[in-house]
Amino acid sequence: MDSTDLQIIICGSAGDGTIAAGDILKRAMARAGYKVIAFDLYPAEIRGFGKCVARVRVTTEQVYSLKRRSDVLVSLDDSHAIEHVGEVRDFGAVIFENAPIARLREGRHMSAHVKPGQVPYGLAQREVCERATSSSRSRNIVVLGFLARMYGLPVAAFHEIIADKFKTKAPVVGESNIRAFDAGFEAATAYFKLDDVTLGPPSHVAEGADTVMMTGNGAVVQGCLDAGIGSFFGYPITPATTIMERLAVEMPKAGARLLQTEDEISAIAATIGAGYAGSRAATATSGPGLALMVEMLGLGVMAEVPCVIFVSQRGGPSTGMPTKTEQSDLNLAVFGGAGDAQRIVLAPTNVEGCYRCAGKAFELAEKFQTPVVILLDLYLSNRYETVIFSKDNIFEPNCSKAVEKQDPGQAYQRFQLTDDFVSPRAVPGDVGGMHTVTGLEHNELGRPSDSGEMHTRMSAKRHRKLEGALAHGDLNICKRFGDEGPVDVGILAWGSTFGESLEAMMAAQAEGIRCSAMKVVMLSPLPVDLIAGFLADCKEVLVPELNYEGQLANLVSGQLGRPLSRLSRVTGAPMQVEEILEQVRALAKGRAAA
Amino acid sequence: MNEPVKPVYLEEKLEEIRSDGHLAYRSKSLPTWCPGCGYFSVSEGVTKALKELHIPTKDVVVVSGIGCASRFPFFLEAYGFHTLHGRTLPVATGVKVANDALTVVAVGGDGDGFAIGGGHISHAARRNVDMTYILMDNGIYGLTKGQTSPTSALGFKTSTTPYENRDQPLRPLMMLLSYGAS
Repeated sequence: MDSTDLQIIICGSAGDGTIAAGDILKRAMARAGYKVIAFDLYPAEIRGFGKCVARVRVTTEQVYSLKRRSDVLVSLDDSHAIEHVGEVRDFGAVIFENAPIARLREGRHMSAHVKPGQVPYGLAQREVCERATSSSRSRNIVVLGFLARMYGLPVAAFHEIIADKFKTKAPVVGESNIRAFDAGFEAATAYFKLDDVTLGPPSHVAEGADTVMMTGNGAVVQGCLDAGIGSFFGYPITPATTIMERLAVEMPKAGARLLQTEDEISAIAATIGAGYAGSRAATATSGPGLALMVEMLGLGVMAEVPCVIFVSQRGGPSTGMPTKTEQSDLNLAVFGGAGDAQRIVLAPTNVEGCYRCAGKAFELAEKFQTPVVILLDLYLSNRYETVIFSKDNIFEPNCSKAVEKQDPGQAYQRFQLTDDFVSPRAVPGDVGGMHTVTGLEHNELGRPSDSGEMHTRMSAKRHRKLEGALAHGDLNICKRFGDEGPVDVGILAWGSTFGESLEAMMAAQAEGIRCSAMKVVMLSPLPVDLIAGFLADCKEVLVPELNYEGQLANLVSGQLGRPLSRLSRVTGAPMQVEEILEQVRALAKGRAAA
Repeated sequence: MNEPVKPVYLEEKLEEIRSDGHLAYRSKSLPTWCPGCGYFSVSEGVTKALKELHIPTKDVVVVSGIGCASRFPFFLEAYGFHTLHGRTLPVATGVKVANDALTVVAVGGDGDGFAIGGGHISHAARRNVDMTYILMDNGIYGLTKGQTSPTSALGFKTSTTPYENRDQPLRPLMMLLSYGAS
């Protein structure tokens, strides 16, 4: 079999090494040249007995989301893993501890839950581990060795990644873990392979620097660095913190500056200060932080200061669900703040998009002299994908509209009204460009003015200058996939949910439903013409999103006046492909499912 | 008996003021402060200091918040950023981080600095960012016409404390010194 599509779930308690095992698995498979998508679920507490789940999908073709049904489940703790048995497909495998350390109450062992059609593999994880390493701590590595033997996973890649992972520890730690891996591999030789899970060869071998496996937040960091970020200010908040942590390592090496501020208000205030002074400046936060930032964001709009705000959404409102995913900050990102404060909002749909949007955000902010919000969500921030990067830097280093040489007697007009509504911009240090910007309404010189006429003209300037953003180069602000021309059902989606939408679309097409899907990357200003063109082709339109109200559906139907079918889920988990597919089927038949 | 007093002629005095060059730091906009306000002197002091130090106008950034005192940047010939109420210090920090060749002056009043922006003072002080913070403390909210401020005296009557101010006023110098400001 040439085409590979293998999804493995590893499930255990916090402290079992579940996430670490998933991490080694995905890195090893990516190292061996496979495409990988991975997403972990873990509790908000660092230790304790909370459930950890690592899901890794390994493929040779490009895929866009995790599968509902996994091929293999590995249990490191049956009390958590039992409820995931149903996720394993027929003829898939369930691997569990067959020598528990204590008597279990009836029904507490995995063997009682494996479903007919699934293939159980009991493995004495603890015993194998203790024999190899005289401790049971590396059980998570033992099961990786077992998987490697059973499914022909690339052993050399695992050895490399394990050595890599423990290289900061004493050498014995790495060696002991390699022994654990080999012991698991050895143990598997005693098993007959009964399930039908297979792994084909990788479709291409990774060529070093080009193929990289990273998270959405990792891609944001890479995008910031490649776009020449100059200053970053932030305040830690899940799930955006890893952006700041990574930048704190990389920015000083690039001669850039990062400061942890006392709160989110200061973070964006300093970002705007740095943007005003001509630096490519950014901050990163989540919904609660954005709520604190919107007043300053309005100042950025009014004073026309470039700055970039990354927002990784989590369950809300208020403190909400910090370690669960949701897409409920669209309204805040697009509309938050006082007055008519239009800004640019982008929502990438995959890890590669995080990279592109992050870098493009600096170009857009500078070119249109405005705050740019990049909306991510926990699922996109934390999930791993293999991404192929072009070797050339795709970002423009300077997009600012320069001040032309002016007569000595003539005062510089910071907010000069021009044909494209963008004014030439001077920054502190420029000779002859002295001006004061303000959050007050102002005239072309930047002097406070509350004349009705000036407010009308300046409001138009601030809105209409953004029209140019719809035509910004090298950025898909909106893109249609699937069937061309009239279709039965169109799926309109944004952010991380687009991956699942695309998979659902392909499944619907396979069932004979004429279907296409459109991703909306630019949420403000909204590409209404492109969306209207798509909607005109669709008999029915489904908008799946992870918020209660249907915020994208509201935004689009508000501007285009067309009723849309909503699929809103707030379970804290990514949208399921099957749920979207079910709705698509129902809409194709002419009625919405309940 | 009386020593003859040398008369001061307006034209001569103006000539003297103009000739020392500090007027180059004054913007063409006339201050909007009330006649007799102490802020005129502060503004005069800042322009003279910039002149004495030979700092080019293009390298000066004055950052302010909201309030009478925060109108300051408009009356100076330099780069200015009139920001939000209370956010003077973090914005000024951002400007300095972005380009430390700039001379950064943060300006605000007691409401801006000690009330809404009070939380930023300790952090600006502990970071000891190379910038000057001029806080014009008049003990009252002037721009909104007379409400109590964190430095208003006990018993002070204002439109929001029509009977008396019962809150102990803040002691700015003690606070700043304890945070290690220099």
